Amino acid sequence: MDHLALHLNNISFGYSRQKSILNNITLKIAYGQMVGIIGPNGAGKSTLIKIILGLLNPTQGQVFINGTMLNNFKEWSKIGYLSQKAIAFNTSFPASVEEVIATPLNSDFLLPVTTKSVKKQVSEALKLVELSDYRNTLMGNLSGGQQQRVFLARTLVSQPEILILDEPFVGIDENSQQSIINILKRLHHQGITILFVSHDLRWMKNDTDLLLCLDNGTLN
Amino acid sequence: MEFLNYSFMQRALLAGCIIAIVCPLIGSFLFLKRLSMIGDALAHISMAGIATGLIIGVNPTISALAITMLASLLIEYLRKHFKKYGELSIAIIMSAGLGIGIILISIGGSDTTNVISYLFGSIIAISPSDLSLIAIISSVVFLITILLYNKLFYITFDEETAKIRGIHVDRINLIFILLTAMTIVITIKVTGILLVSALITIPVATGFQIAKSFRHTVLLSILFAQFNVLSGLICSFYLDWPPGGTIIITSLILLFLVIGLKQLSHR
Repeated sequence: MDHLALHLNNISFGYSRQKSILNNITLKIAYGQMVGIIGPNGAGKSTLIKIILGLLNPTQGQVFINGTMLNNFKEWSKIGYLSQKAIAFNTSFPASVEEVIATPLNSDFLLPVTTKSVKKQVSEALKLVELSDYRNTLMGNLSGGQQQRVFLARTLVSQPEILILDEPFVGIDENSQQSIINILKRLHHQGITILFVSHDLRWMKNDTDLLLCLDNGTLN
Repeated sequence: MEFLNYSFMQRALLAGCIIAIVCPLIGSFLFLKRLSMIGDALAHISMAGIATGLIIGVNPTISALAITMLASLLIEYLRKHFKKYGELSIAIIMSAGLGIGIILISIGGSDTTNVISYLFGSIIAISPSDLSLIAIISSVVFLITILLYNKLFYITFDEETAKIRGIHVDRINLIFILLTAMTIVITIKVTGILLVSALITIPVATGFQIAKSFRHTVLLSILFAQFNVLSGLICSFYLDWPPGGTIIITSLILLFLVIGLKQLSHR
């Protein structure tokens, strides 16, 4: 199983026996693949992502990341996750773009100072999402699309090997959607494994290595 | 500088400056979490703690500390229980605090007549041992908050991602609410129960007007709180007004001044 970045083996999930959300899902993603999962709202896409990230326990089946079973997996800094809810962040609060992007790196330090190496990594992440000029801007002063790119930069700042995105195109303008698509394409070329879920088929369908449909709890 | 000749005033100023560091520090995170009202709820529950202390003959600050910290854990539990309606837990604890407090005061009779001084605060009420307690508790709150700063900031706007990164989200939330309870209890001595949340919210609201980042908000709100407390206590001395109310008036004047200047500069 060493050659797989992500392996879901026969995953099922339900909050009760009568109400199953995911049924016998098996998915194998090799290193460097870009995989999209589409499906209508309520199909269980976000639930699947939460199971992969260990935020929910499946009622059946196992998840392997980099060949390691989820329970034993420790290298979470190699996993980048952009949550659907990121955009609902308290935008009126004056947190600067740099502060937001630096959070995953700063969380390893005890004192509230941003080191030079963190600043450098933030610069690189900002360059990737084409927002270098916005480093000291307040989050509340950015558009929804720019904010989503900042959150993407926060995901990329720890240089993840696997990128997991939950509805990255929801609630943002078309220019930003296109910009995020271009960024993801570049990352794909660099060999980063990407898994995203979306309810909208328009995006990325031509660029994925594998496009799957999640409906009624089954993956096709 | 006549006020500096009085030892009670020296203690009040010192205590005021100390709490004007920890209140805005904790307040900035509460503001970011949209939980500013928690200060009021914990202050109300502290009344039950103070009344208990007066009845059983224990230092009321100590009994208030114990009961408020317990109540803060209950708020955190209820907040998880109600999830999307977290503010309900604040309202529930606030009413519970007042209800129990009033019953205890009525049962306590002459033992609890002193409670009024806790409602509005009193400068002469800060004894040397109170000052030591305020200094010790503030140091603990300050140190732990600074050490948890990065993780608290992370958790505040993205609990899920923080959890994935291996941050003990529940444990840190619990520590933070306990720190909040400790801050509230020591602040009561200066501002009184009814006005405690003003020191937690108004300086942060003032700093928030002109800050360029979250760290900047924290620093500015501490700076503004120092001004609010010092000017409030000095005015309270000369005008013979209650310190809590006077601190709030000076805080509000500064807040509206900053809002006005900000609007002028945008024209």
